Amino acid sequence: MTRRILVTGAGGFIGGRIVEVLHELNPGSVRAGVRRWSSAARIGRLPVEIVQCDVSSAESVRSAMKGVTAVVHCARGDATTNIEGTRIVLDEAQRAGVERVVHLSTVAVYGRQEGSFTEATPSAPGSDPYGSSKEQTEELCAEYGRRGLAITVLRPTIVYGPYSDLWTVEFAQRLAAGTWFLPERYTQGTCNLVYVDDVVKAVVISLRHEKAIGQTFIINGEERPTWNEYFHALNDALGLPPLRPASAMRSRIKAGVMMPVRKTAKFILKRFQPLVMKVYQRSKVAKSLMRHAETAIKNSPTAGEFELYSLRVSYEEQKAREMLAYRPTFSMRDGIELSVAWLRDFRYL
Amino acid sequence: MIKLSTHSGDEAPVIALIGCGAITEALHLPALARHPEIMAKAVCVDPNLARANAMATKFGASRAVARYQDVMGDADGAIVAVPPKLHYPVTMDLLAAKVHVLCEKPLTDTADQARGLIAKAQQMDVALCVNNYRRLYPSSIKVRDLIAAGELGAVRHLEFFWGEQFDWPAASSTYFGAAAGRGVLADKGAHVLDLVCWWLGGKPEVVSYEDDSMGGTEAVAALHFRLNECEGVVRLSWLSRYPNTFEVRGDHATAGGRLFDWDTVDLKRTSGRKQKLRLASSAKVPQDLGKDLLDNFLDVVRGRAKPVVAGSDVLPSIELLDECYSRRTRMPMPWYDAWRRIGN
Repeated sequence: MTRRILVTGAGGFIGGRIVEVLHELNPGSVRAGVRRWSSAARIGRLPVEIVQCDVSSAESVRSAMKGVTAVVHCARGDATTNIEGTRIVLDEAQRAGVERVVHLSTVAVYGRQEGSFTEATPSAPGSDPYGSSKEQTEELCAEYGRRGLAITVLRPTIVYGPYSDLWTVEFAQRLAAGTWFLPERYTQGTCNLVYVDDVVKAVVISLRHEKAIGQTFIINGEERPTWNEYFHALNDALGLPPLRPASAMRSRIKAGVMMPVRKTAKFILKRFQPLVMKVYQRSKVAKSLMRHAETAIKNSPTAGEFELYSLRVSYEEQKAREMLAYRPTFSMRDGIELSVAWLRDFRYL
Repeated sequence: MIKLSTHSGDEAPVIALIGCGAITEALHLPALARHPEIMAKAVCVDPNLARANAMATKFGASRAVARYQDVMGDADGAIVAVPPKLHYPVTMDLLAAKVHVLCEKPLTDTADQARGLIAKAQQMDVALCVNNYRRLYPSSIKVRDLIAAGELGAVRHLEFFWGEQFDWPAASSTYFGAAAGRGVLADKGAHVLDLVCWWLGGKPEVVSYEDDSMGGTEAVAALHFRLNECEGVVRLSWLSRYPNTFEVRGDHATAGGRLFDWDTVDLKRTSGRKQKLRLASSAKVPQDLGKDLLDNFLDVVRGRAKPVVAGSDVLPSIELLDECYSRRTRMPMPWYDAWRRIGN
C-alpha cells in the first residue's frame, strides 16, 4: 500500500519544511493540513494536496485523515489547542487505522532547569504553560500508545533555520539593528541549537524505523555552543561589525523599562486588535508610532531571555543515535549559512 | 470606441456579483451597498449556494443563485470575482450575452484570451472593465504625469518591491497549489506590471524572470525587464515583508514612494533638491479607491461614463505576464535544496 502522510500544522515553520522534504523524498506521498488557507502560500509552491485541518475540530481532522497511513502532528496553538488538538488527532488516527504517528513535542517539558537531560529524566515543565501543555500531549501519546497506536514522540531543542521567526528572523534583525546586545555574563548558557532539517531528518527516520514505535527521542544538534557564541557566529555571518560589549546594568534597565511597554502593547492588541488595525491603516502618524514601538519592543531583551541565555543545560540525543542511527547533518556553521542566505533573499535584512 | 449602455440611466441597473469569495465580501458588496437602490436589485452568484445566500442576506441583495448562466438574461452588469482561471470563460459568456463586465485582476491567464474578450466586448457593444484600481491612486497618476511631462527626463530605471506574508482571508483553496497554477506574479504582479506598462507607455521586454514555483503557485517572483533605455526590476513575495516601495529614476529626477501611501510621492531632483508631493485624495484606505472604480463601472452600465480601466488598457501587462511565465526559471534556493543532504 502506498504510504500517505498527513502533516498537521503544515502552514508553520517546522510543518512546512516537513511537507517540503517528504514531498521531495516521495512525490505524491504528502497531504498538507492547514488550519487557515492563508497559511498555505509556502507549501502551495509544491504540487501537494492541501486540506483544511483544524485540530480543534474532530470533523475537520477526520476528513483530513481519510486514506492516510501515517500522521506527523506539528499543529500547535494555545494550551487548550495543544492538548485537545492532540487528543482529537490521536483519536481520529486510531479510528482511521493509521499505522504510524509522529508527535512533535519539545524539551520545554523539562522546564528551565540546569544540567544534563535524557529521555529518562522525568519531565518537569514548572509554570511554563507551553511546556506544561506539551507534557500533557505526551501523556496522551502514552495513553493512545497503550491502546495500540504506533506513536513516536520527538522532543526537538531550539529549532532554527529559514522561516523561524523566533530563533532566526528576530535575532538577525536585532543584531542588524545594532541596538540589541547582551553582556557576556548573561549569555554563557548553553544554546542547544538544532537546524530545522535535522528535525525533519528525525521525523523521516521515525516514520520508517520499527524501533521508533512507542519511544520518545530528544533531537538536538551536534554542537553545544553558548548563546554568546551563537550570537557572534550569526553576527559574523551577517557581515555586521563586531558585537559591542554591553553593560549588565544598562541591559537590565532597558529590559525593565520595556517590560510595561511590552505588557501594555500585548494587552491592547489582545483586547482591541480590530480598532488598532483600523487606526494603523488610517493614520500615518499612528502607523509610524506603532512601527517604532514594535521595533523597540523586538530589540529589547525580556527578563525571561536573561534567564534562558544563562542556563547551563544540555539535552542529550544519545538515544536517537543509538536506536535510530540518527546523526545531525548540519553543523551550526552550515545552519547559519543557509539561514543567512534565506534571510537576505527574503529581504529581512 | 466603446459604445455605452442601452440601459436607461434613470432606473437602477441589475448587477450580478459572480463569485462570493473574500474579495466580494470585503470590497465589492460593501461598495455596492452604498447604493441601496442597486443593492436591492443585485444578485449574488456562487456555486456554493449557501455562501451566496449568506452574502445576499448580509448585504441586502435581492436573491442568490448558484449558476451565473441563470442571471445572464436579467443582469445589466456583472462583477466577475471567480478564481482567475475562470475569468476568461465566465467573462466571455457574459459579454456574449450583452452584459457589461467588471472583471477582477488579472483579466485573463493569457494575452490571447484577453484579446478575445476585448474583441467580444467590441462586437457586442458592451463594456469590459478591469479592477486594476491601483491606477486610481493619486500617486500612480502623479508618477505617470511626471514621466509624460518629461519632469523626470529620460527614464533609466524603474523598480518595485512588494512583499508581505499572505494573509488574505481566502475562503477556499483556489489560491494555491498546482490547480491554481499562478501565484504572486498574477496576484500582486497584475497591479505592478500594469503600472509599469502604463507609466512607461508600453510593454517592456523580459530580460529574465525567475520564481520559486516547484509545480505549484509561486510565492516569490523576480523580474528584470527593459524598454528602450529603461531597465527595471520587480520583486514580489507572499512570504515576507519587503520595504514595499517603488522608484522611477530619470535623467533629471527620481520619483519614489511607498506602495500604500497613495497620496504621496517623493521627488528628488539631480540637483539634490527633494520634494514631498502631497496629493489630494478623499480616500482614507486603499479600498476606497476600489470603491471609486466600482462607481465608475455603475456609471458605465448606466451609460454615464467610459471605463477608467478598460480591458484594452491592461492588455500590455497581460502580455508581459504571459511572457514572464513562458520564460520562467526556478530561482536559486540553497536552503530549500538542502533536503538532498538529509539522505533518502
